[in-house]
Amino acid sequence: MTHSIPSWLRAAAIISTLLTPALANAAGAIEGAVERQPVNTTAIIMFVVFVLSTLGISYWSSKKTRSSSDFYTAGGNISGVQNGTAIAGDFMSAASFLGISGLMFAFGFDGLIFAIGAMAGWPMLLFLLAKRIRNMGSYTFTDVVSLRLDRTKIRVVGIGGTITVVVMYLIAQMVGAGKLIQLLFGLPYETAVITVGILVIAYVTFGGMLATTWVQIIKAVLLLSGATVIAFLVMMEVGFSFDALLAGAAANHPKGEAVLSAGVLYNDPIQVATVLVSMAFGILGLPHILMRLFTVANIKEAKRSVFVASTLIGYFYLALIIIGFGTIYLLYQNPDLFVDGKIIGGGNMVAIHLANAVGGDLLMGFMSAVAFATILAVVAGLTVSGAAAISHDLYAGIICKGEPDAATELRITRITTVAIGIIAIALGILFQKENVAFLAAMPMVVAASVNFPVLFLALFWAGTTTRGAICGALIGLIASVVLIVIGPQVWVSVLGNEQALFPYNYPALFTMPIAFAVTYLVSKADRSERAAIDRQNYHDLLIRSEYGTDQALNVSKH
Amino acid sequence: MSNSNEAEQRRAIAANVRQRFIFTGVFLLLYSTVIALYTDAGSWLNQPLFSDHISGAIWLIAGLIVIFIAMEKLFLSLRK
Repeated sequence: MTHSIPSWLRAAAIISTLLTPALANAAGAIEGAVERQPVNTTAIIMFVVFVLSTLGISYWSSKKTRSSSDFYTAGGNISGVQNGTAIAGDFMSAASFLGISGLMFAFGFDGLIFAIGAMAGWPMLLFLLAKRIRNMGSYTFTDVVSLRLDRTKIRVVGIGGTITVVVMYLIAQMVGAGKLIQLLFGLPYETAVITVGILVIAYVTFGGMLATTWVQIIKAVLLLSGATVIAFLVMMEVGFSFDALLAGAAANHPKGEAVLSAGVLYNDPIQVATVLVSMAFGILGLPHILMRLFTVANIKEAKRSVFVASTLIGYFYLALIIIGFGTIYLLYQNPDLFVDGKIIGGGNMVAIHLANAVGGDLLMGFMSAVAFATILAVVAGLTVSGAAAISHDLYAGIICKGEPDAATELRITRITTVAIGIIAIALGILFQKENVAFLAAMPMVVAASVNFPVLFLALFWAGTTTRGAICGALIGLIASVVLIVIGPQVWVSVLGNEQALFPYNYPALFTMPIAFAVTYLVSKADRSERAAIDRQNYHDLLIRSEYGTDQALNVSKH
Repeated sequence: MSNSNEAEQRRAIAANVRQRFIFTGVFLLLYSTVIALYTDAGSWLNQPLFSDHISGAIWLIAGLIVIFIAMEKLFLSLRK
């Protein structure tokens, strides 16, 4: 076992640090300037194979992407199982794997709060939104709300919510990806970011949603396979006795038996509630996840998609329980992994250490390559969503009043994709030296506090008006940004103040109800002419959302 | 559409919505039990349960993941 910090290990530490601030804060991220390191050949070979195969898929997909519908939703021809796997691939991040296992390594059970939080949005998506969204919209969630509210104004709100989430995600992903590749390949940071940007532009511009879907499917299969193998090998170490695994973990961890139950990291139920609410309801407002409901042919397949995604994600987190306690059991007993009492590469690196411990170089290289694949899959999904917001919602919906020239719209979509890729590269370079950890919390909070309340009330409450939705979304956005800025991640970690003015990292527990309340109260008080139309429209929307008439499916094609 | 048809349609939709909200309500109730682990009321779950080392909290998290998937399956079955 090496005593030096391998490049892939430092890189993976950075990636999980940037993507999961809470996890990074808890588990201890690596610090200091990034230095180029010797390369991990196994990981590079696996990553190159992944890139070549996905570029091949993009070439194949480009032959099938001839219209805006093909680009945004793969023509609605993805099956439920494929789409569900792609959703799982889109959602399960390197942060889930590296960050949660790192948190469990440090604090035991409490790391699982993030696992159950990430699992919880999916049942609600199925129960509340999947059918209605699939019936109502065609390309984006903005289509759904614009069917009953003022089309132009509400599209502006939808575009704002989408772009805010996409940009924040992109910055965190690009900075993490840039540093990861910089370390693995020995490339300068800028070259690394440009490489990622170009790959994603190639996937999305030519292959659209079809290529993105297959990239995400392959990534999901790789990640689930890796997690399964590691969990299996861990269980083999303890004679397939979970009880023995926990006994070993309790014996090896400095906190002893305490790591097997709640309370090592958190002791405040409100703190736990903030995490749970932000994660569960954030999923319901993520534009790139909602958009995937339109890539299947019908309601049945849309619902099957969510169920398949939920099952795969649930399985992943069950495997992560074994992996997390496996890190405690197997790594604490190996003094070679610690320097000055700290685990090499930081707490978030323990899953990679574990892969090495139970599967050697091959498994370790495989999991490092999976981390790369994860970044590309997530960025590709975000890029499609961002491109749809600009070209479909803004250009086709607002500028062309819903009647664009089809060829022009597709051309603009591709131009937008390239532009988003270039912007992502620029942001990645711009934020190279910044602490962007807070940007990973923001998308979930904003999605829960801006997109979800508007979507939910438009679908389920007849009294919702355009004015109410705009005010609710605006206040939700302002509240989210303000509370995150005065919270620990920005006020203390970025701005250097001693104590945060607001004690929680994930404020959706407070900001989401505020957005709901403002939307409700303003809608109630709204006596405008438009408000009457909005209320009248609800009946049609209700029928369409439940029965999915052809008319409904055609309403917002543009 | 006749009035009786429309009324019937509305009743069917109301039943659908009721079912959605019941599932969501049950889900949220189950989900909120995680918070109980951090209160005095749920502290008993932090002791080993049905084994020497597997705490009630671990059973709860693993159980919730399985139950959530089962709820989705049930929801889909009821709405075929």
